[in-house]
Amino acid sequence: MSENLRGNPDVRSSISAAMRTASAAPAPEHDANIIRSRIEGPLLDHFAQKAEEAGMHTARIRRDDLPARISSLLHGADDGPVLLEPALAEEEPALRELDGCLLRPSEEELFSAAAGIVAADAAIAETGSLARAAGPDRPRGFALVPMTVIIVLRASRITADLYEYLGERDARNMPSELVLITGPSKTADIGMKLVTGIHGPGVVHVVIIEDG
Amino acid sequence: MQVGLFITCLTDTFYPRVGAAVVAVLRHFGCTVRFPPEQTCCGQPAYNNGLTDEARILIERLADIFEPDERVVCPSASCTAMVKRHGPGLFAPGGEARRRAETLAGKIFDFNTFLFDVLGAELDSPAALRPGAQATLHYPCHCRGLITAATATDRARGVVGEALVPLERADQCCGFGGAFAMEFQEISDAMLADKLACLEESGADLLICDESGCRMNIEGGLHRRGRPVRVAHTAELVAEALDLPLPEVS
Amino acid sequence: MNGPETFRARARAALADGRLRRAVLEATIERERKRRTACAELPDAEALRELARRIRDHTLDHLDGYLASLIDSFRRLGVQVHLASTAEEANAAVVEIARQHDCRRAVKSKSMLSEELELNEALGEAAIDVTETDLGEFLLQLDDDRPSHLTCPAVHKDVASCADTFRRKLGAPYAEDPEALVRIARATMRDVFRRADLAITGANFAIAESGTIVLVMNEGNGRFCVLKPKVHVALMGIEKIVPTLKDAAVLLKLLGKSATAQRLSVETHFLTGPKQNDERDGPEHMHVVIVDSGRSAMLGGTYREALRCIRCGACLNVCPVYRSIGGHAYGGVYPGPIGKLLSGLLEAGSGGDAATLPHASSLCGACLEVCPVQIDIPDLLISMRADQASRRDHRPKKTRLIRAAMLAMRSEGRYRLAQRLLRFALRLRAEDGWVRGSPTLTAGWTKAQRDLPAAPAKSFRDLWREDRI
Repeated sequence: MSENLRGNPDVRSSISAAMRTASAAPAPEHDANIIRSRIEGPLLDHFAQKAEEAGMHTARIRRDDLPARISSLLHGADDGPVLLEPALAEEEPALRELDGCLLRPSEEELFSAAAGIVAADAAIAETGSLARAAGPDRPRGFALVPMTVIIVLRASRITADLYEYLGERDARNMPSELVLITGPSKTADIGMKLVTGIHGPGVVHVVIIEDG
Repeated sequence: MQVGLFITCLTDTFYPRVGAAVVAVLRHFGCTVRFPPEQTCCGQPAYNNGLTDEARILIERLADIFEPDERVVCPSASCTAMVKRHGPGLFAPGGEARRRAETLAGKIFDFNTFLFDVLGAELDSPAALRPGAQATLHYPCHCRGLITAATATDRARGVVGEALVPLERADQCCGFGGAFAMEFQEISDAMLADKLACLEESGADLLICDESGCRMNIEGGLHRRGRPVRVAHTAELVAEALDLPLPEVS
Repeated sequence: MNGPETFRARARAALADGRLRRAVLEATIERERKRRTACAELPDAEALRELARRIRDHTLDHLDGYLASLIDSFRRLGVQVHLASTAEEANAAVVEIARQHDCRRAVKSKSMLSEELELNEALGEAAIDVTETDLGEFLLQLDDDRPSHLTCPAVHKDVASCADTFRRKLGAPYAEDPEALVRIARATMRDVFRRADLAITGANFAIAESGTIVLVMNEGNGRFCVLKPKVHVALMGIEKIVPTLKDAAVLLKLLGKSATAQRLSVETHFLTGPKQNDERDGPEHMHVVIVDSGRSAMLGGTYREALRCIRCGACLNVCPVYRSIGGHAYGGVYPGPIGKLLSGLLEAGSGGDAATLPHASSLCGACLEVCPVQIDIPDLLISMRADQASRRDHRPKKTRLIRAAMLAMRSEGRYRLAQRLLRFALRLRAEDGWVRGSPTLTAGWTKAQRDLPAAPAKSFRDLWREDRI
């Protein structure tokens, strides 16, 4: 057994024993026509519609208007620290000017934050989802802990379909955490009533830069 | 077209009027009907309860009995499904018995599909219900794989016209399920109660049901509760629409 | 679990519980209605289900190879793998991991496998504190209750019962208000997430080519679990393997829609290895416990296709029996149609009714119609009945009676005799053409709220013979 493997080797031998000899069939072919959603019209419109249906708020802006738009969205958030993802601050230096925003908060600040501002790596029009990979300048908690999360998306990064998006990932080079966010956190566990903001964000704004 | 009639045990014993209506309608649309009296059961109770050997023997019997017939028509969805969907699988592939079971499976149709799809029958006018009457459709579980609920609804509309009203959870089991109804009578009863509640809510005073098992269950529940809802097979309604004479049964 | 000991007794208790029945019926009807709408969006839902089935079958056909490649990917990523043949081995592995890293406070996201293993009990014995973080599971943990649905664990509890739990166990003010209760849960759980040192999750899929654990959730608790703790343990059954990211995409398209009528769940979470050195948050150590516990035996036998299951719960929502009795009556960890199969097939979490459950179905086929991977549950239930019927010593009484009836059906003469006897017996007891109560064979029929029609004087074949048709 290799060094990362412990436990009972019987698991593998019982599986091998259960294999049927006549099962050399190749993996089924994927027919893209039945897998991919048909998207009519511009991807951006489709994405925005599905994102709204998933309970997120979308806004389309020009890049120059980003700080002003985010500032106005922050007025609707609770009081508390605002977290700005370092990777996004690098891409959009103008955001550093936002009042009191933290790039490297303490744990106390992270857990008392009212809002987080992060960038999306990609978006999926079919489902209205935003993809975000964790990384050194993209801390996991920024898009999770605060009640309000603002996700900045460049319109050029919208992909049509989940299948296309995952198919383009490099299987040998996946980030430690990749999350597809499709709406505010929610639950219907109590009386089948949908309530948002259970553990994760209760309000998700998607600010789409059209000329990015 | 020549057809053999597979009447099924329940319809034979409890609903002879349905059988008479099936024959009258088929004849009306130009079929010659043969009823081979040797027929008994399709083996569904055996199959459903894991008695595959018994089921195999009965399917083989039916394949022999209906060998001369061009097509076979059956008023029951579940017995048709037994022969069509489960019959061939009881025999080893490649053998003569399998081939015969497949031949039978290929030529047997539930009455509804046979009338509207194979014969392409159309009614000039819908069944003459009393003025103001409303009808609704129970979709028997065993129609799954034979007719979709949407198709069944379209056909019912063809039979009763605008009198058709929707039934909530029309495709939910009525609680019959053969031995299940007796073995787990309390659960079965709850399922029946839900079906009857939906039926009451629909406001219909006629329930179309092309399956004798469901009919026995639903009608039995209606009778116990003293509800004046009539349950009828499509064949009976078509025969009535065409004004075909049916024998009195009592 | 407390309460009656047999399926029949639990079902009877559930049928008498109006509050439970209303909650379950409303929830399941609503979920099924939404599922249909969601699936109607797919370009060709049937073809996609077919493809999903083939992907699952292909994987199971080559499971040894895909397991090897998954383990290879984990090695590349520095993920420690633990193989467990039984529930005991799996639990021991988790406890050992906790000890190795000196973990005391675990947070757990929803995992049916962990229920099957009774992991929480094992952790408790090892003095490791564990908190369920899915809201439904949290409510159940507070009450020492069990999930009654695969994706909606507390479906049997109504708002009042949830409010009562929070009042009794958390000292919260009583409020029959889902919003207020959710706020309480959010506040309570924040500290728990922050202080936890061990994250325990299940795995919806494990992707062989990339070594990725996929978790599908809506509440944000899955992401929170892997935020602060330094150790992450993911539990998976051997059947959770998916070869490629593209295969996972196909299954994800069906999972969200089938389970909760979502195009994609709120968080579809791909975890590939521990955090990288320069990342701020995330576990430093990642372990995966791969559990057999009866699965390899299924793989080699008649019930292999039940391993296709992706635990969406659609079969529960559409099942008229589940709708009538809810999930607890089934007794095992997995309720509903798929539970009737798994209870008898898996080693752990089976409950004591494995022999009864396959019969408690009208074989209506609604489950097969909605299953995203086309598991022919009715057919497999029939196979289980056949297994019982072939065991001469344990053949159920019902089976013996049906066998006798079927023997009669082999000849026209005996059929007609049986028909005449039945007609005679019914007509003897009938009033106005109906039998209202009957002893012996058909007692189960009339004991329920239904009468039995007396057969007409002439059968169809009588009329035919008399040339009246």
